[in-house]
Amino acid sequence: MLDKNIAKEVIDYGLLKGADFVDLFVDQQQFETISVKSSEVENISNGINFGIGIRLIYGTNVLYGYTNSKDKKDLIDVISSLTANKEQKKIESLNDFSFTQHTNRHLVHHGLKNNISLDEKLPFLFSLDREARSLSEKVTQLTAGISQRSQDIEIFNSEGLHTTDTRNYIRLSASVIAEDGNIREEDYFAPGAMMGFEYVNSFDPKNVAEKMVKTALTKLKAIPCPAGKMPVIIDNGFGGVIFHEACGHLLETTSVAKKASVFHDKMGEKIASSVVNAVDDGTLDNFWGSINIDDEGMPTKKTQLIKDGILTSFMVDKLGSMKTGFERTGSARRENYRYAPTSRMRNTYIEAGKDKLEDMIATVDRGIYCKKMGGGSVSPGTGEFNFVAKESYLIEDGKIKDCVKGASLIGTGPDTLTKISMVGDNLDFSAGVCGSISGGVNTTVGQPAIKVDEILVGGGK
Amino acid sequence: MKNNIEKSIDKTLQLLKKKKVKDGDVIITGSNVLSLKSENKELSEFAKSNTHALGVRIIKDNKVGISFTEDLSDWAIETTIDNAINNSKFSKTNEYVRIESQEEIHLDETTQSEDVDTEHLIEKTFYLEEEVKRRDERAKTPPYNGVQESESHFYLANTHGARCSYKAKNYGCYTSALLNEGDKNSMHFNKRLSKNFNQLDFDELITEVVDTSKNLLTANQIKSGEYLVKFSPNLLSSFFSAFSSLISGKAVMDNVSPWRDMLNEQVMDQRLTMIDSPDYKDALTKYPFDMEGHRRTDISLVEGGILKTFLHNSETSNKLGMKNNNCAFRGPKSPLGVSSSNIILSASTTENIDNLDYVEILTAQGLHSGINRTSGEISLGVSGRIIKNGEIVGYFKDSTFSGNFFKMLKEVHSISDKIEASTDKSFFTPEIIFNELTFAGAI
Repeated sequence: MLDKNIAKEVIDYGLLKGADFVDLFVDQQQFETISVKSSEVENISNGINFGIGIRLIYGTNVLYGYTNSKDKKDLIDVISSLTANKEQKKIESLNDFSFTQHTNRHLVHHGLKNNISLDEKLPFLFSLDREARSLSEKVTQLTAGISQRSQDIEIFNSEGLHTTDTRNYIRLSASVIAEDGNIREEDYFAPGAMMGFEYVNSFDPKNVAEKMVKTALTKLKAIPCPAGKMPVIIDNGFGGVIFHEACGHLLETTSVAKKASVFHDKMGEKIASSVVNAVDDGTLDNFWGSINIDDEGMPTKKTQLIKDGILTSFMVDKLGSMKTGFERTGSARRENYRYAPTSRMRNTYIEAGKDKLEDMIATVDRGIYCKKMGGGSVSPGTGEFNFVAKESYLIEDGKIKDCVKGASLIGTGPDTLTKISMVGDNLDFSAGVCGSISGGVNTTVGQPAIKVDEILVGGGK
Repeated sequence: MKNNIEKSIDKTLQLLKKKKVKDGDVIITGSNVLSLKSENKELSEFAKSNTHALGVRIIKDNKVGISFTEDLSDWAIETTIDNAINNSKFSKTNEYVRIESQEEIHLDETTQSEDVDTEHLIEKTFYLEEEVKRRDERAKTPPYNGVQESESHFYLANTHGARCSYKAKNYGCYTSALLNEGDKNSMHFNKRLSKNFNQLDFDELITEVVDTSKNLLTANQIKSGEYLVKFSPNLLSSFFSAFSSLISGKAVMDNVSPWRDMLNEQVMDQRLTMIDSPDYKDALTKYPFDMEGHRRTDISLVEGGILKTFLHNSETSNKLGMKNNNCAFRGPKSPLGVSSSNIILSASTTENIDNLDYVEILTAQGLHSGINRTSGEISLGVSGRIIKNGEIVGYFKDSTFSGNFFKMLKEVHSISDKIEASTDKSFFTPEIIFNELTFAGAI
């Protein structure tokens, strides 16, 4: 995408301005979004984003700039404005780039570069709409969409690295609203993968509609959730969002290096219950959070974060490695050229244990079963989190009872990790977009069902 | 002399004409941003950017097509127009949306802002960090700390002759106090924004984040129960943003607004009035035109607690048979919707709240997840302070608050005459004490 000679001249100019390290991130992304609402096409949109991010590292300090242009003059101008107060120094220029072709482990048939017609895409969404509305008169709205993105990246750096990668993403999203009198509830489904349109064809619209409508109708009858401290069982899949937010972010060197993470000095120490094993793995075939190489050009890997409750690794990017001394883990990520890369999660999950969900439920006298978690947030300094359960039930005398609404889970990541007493055998995954200092990146969260012995539940009762 | 953006606008209009598109418009947004962050007396970020995006919308045979590009070359603009035309063929028939404005509206607010030397911005970035640490020895390096200079511009033009532009320049500073003592941690973050750098009060910001974090460090959970509640203006503003579908004509049209059948009915306490004010004198951002190229004016959304209208664009107003009040919104990459500008709450009668006992919520976690936009239910992790007879008697944290936003708005206990603004100066409200809401914390 960028002429190699221009890349060399730009990097040489950065070195001339005294930088210890320079890299260029050339980023072209093609988008297509189609959506259906009220049984009609709501939106069809497509477009192209293009830009080049330039990073100069002085010691462990970063200067970062970007432009939509690939002209040499514009790229040099970015460096000039970044380095206005830096002294020029005479150094040897970069010899040449050595191109590295990485293996693409994610087979894609119908990405945007081998796109199929909208005529072939829209029927799935209309079918979903028809199925959902046919299931109950209480269904008052259905929105559904398919978003595809194809990202071409090219990376050059002052160590001679030159590499490229193409990433194809697809996400299906659907939301149903059911109403009964003044009560309105919704359910949604939003799986994603590093694939082309063939991913959507792996779903049966009838099956998807049935699950969403059933959940929305169940929630219409929900009673207020009791509040207070109690045991909670968080089911698999998107339940892993709590580990992602409340623990995963604290294991990124972005927060570890500045000692803003409570785990910054805990390497090799027990930070979780012995039943907890956690992984961040960028290599899983066709997973939403997977990559071939990270955004610094390093091949990605599988990183064991916690083993038997003991902290075994952080997620480390180049700068994080320079600041902490830990080896890079292929975890440098960014939303696009507008962001400098930082250490970020990929596919992060708690590994499967041996317990059965029904056995876990049976151990609870009075508590909450969170079947489906929603999003949440965490304070990175303290690990305090808040997550809402999108579908949850009261547990009484070891049995699942009424559906409850308004349940939110409040606690701190480090404390909660020590209170996990059971880990199920039903590991599953969910797609999400993680927002942090290098923008929104695709991440997978995952876990089997887990039992937390005590957690503060916020509710309406 | 036209700048490159204006030349791209001209090019797009020429191509639309060449391709016989009678109804089309083009939006270009862009920004120049300098972002500085510091860590241990060194710059951890010095980021400078200059970006833009162009979005084309066309209506052909009553069908709308949109497309966008960040590449402003002639080839890219032509491809974007072709894509928009192709996309329109698959869109639903839409006889309601119009591209018809012929207005010319321009506002340049960058002239109100003085230029600030980069070295001075860097000095202030270091000052924020160092001063937070100096004020309390328990303070670690602030996880969030920086200064930003941002210049943005919006251009809109259409095939009927409309030409609109808005330029603005803002400065911002933000910091956080992360305190640690033994096994106790606390953190408080806030920011300040202004058109003029010299109006940013760094010391006042530092005092707020350090003092609040100090108080939260030793705070415990609130005793579970029901309390009268006051929300910080930022939090109340966040609630109104999260529940924007309440006043959205688009949400009414899509049958998803919880207030869609409430026109001329009571939706708030009868003392409250809510106005959308694009040119509000104290607001940071002005909205001289909407994204269909029509001039924006004040809209009275709620009067005396009664819902009077929704925010409309050409499509929602025509489809619902209501007057278009020029609140169209779209970015280069997004389809047509509606958007509020600055929201101003006011009260017909006020009273002294100094003798009340209530809980003031300062920060909340889980705003993007703990809110059910359909049912109005809110359940959030919160921290704040306890007020008795006008005096702060304690702080709390690690607690949850729950309630229903729709019900809250109708069940107001008291309103004072003191006006507060959100940090971004887009939301203005009198102090409002809401009736008892549920908190869970200590037993």
